[in-house]
Amino acid sequence: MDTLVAAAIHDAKNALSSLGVWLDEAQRECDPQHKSTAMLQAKTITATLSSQLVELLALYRAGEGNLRLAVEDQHLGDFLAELMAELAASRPMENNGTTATASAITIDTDFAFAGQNAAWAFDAYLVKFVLLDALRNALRHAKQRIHFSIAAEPGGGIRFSVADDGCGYPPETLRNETSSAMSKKSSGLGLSFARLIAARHATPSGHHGRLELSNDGLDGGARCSLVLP
Amino acid sequence: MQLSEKFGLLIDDIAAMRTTVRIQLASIGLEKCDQARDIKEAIEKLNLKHYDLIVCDYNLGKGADGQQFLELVRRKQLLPMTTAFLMITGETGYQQVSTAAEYSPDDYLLKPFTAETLGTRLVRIIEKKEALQPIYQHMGAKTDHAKALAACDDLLAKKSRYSLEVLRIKGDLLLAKGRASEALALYDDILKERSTPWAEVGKAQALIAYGNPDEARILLEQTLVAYPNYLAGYDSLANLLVKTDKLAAQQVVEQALHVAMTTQRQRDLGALAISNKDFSRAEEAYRYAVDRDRTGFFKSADDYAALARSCFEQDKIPEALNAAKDMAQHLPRTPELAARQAAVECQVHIRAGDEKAAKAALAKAQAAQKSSKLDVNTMLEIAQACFAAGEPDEAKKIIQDVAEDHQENELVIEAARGVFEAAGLDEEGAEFLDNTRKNMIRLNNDAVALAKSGELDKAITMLVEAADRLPNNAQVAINAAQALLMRVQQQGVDMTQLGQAHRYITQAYRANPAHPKLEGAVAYYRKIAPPGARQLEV
Repeated sequence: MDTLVAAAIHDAKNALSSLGVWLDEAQRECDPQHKSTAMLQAKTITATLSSQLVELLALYRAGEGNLRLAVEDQHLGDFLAELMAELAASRPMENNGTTATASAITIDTDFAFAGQNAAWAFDAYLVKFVLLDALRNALRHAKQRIHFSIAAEPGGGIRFSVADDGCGYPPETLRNETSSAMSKKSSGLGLSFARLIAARHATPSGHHGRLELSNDGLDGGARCSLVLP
Repeated sequence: MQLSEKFGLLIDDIAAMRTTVRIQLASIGLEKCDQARDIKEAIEKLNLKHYDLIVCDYNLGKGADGQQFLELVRRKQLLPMTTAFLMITGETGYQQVSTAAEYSPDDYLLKPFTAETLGTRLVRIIEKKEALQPIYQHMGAKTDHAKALAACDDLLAKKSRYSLEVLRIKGDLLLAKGRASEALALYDDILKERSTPWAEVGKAQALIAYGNPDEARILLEQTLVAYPNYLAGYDSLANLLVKTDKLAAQQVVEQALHVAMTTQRQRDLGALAISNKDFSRAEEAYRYAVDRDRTGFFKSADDYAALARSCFEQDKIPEALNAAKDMAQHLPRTPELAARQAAVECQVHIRAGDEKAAKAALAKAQAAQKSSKLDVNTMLEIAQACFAAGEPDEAKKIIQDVAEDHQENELVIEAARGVFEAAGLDEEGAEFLDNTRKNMIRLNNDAVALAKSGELDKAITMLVEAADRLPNNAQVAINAAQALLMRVQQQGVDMTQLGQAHRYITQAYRANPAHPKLEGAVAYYRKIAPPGARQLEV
């Protein structure tokens, strides 16, 4: 059973989703042809807030001892296709104010592994948020390119990897100081969430998932990897 | 695959939501779509027409939810395996749906969603259903395990993207047929590559069937640490523990209830709590079961009877009488229900020291028992009342009838044992039921011996009498059919005897379609029956 705090976070998330619907409506009423930059910006912010609330809820439940992952087989191809579609939908604006179509940043993908190995067991709902966060973060920091891949992990497991050609993580982030952040602008919520979700993925034989951050991305940029057992 | 060719059924209690989803469905091409606003309407529609897909909201109001609905229609065979089922849920329902154990939807969609996502998901699950159709056609009310398994192997040889689903079904089929070592090999093969909850639990099930419960228990406990949301793991572990340690089993079901609060699990918990004489916990569990469901679709006389028992065992007499009264008020009035209510009331009155009322109630129950065919649980309730009212011989007569008829049904025998235990007659009950079992074995053995020594007619008389008396005993019916077929084989075709054999094989099939001797009897019939004789459709 959810406590008051969890229920409140939940309500806030529902309110945000209504806000998203009304923003769409407002856009239609003003001018359906011309997308207002302010409106797009507002939509992007509601999407970000919404994921933050999901993350907050997961962290809160973990603190209460109530977070249980719903692990089940996922067709990796379907999962990645949905993930990329969702990323595109929530990417009307890049952080620098340009629209996605005008943005210079390209995302290269290497999903060959997903083609050969149809399925893996994980919590698709929560892992999707981890990866969307990593990708959005890369979009904020990349100069031109992002590389997103999935591969087998030697010794068992799979590795999702997001690499960009930005200037890399600050040293305190790499030193795993939780108070520091993925970017100077954020609270570190996304990172704490990602570490939590990674660690909570486990197998009966005792293997756990993990999050790895490094600066061996493209041209020394950041690389964020999620390894699932 | 075109959605425009499909028939859909949309179930949601909120009109505005139905309209919204209906528009979304139309926009992706699904024009042919009926709507239902509650479970009653949905069941009526399912009875009338075949649907290719069902889109159902998790929250259906009046204490009913889509998961309960899905379990109900799958269990009652109202929904063919080939119909795709998509559940729509908010984030709260998502936990319950995503963890569903035995009857899970083909997919679920979290609100809010776009028409496009809805379309992608629907197409995906319908394509999967169509790809698995060669297997599903042999499954359902009458599962033909051999044909279904052959279809699995066929599909596996083709290496489609659904191989994993096929393996999952194949594992279940192998376990259902008791082919433990093959099932074990199948699961080990998957687990060699990676861990996944269903294969871990499947392996544990195979280990149990293989006679290795200790290893299974350890595996299940480890699986639940890694996958604390996987309800099938709790169910499997509780089923394993119930044989050896009912207290531990009760704890496991308590844990499962933290993951998903379902009526069925409350019921399981209540039953264990009664066995463990934890009557206040049992009362709480059964009260949840009867109070939560305001539609009346998901509760039964068993729930009210168990609630009444939990109450009177704590000397809560008014509460117990209320539970018996509520039983009659909230369920359809049948002679069976009236008998059940009277049997329960008899026990409450005994407990309260009102012998006169108890006798009157018992007389009413016994009258019903003599005039109509009652279900097992009502029969056992009357037996329980007989014990309580000081009529142990009457009680044993009823239990003997039930136990002979349902000899191969472990659950019924266990329930019969429970009646003795509740009457404080544990040892006597164990001995009594053991004797019943031995008697049934002797009956079958004697008949076989008679047949072998040339007295086939005597054997036939014996077995036919028993088979007519015990319609739920598959073994007796199979033996009767086989004796009749032997007779036909020895002395030439006799259409009457052949017809009788046909009837007993059908009776055996109805009693237990998975009986290991059934296939042999069917083959024997087909060998003996001349062209033009009645075909066996099993």
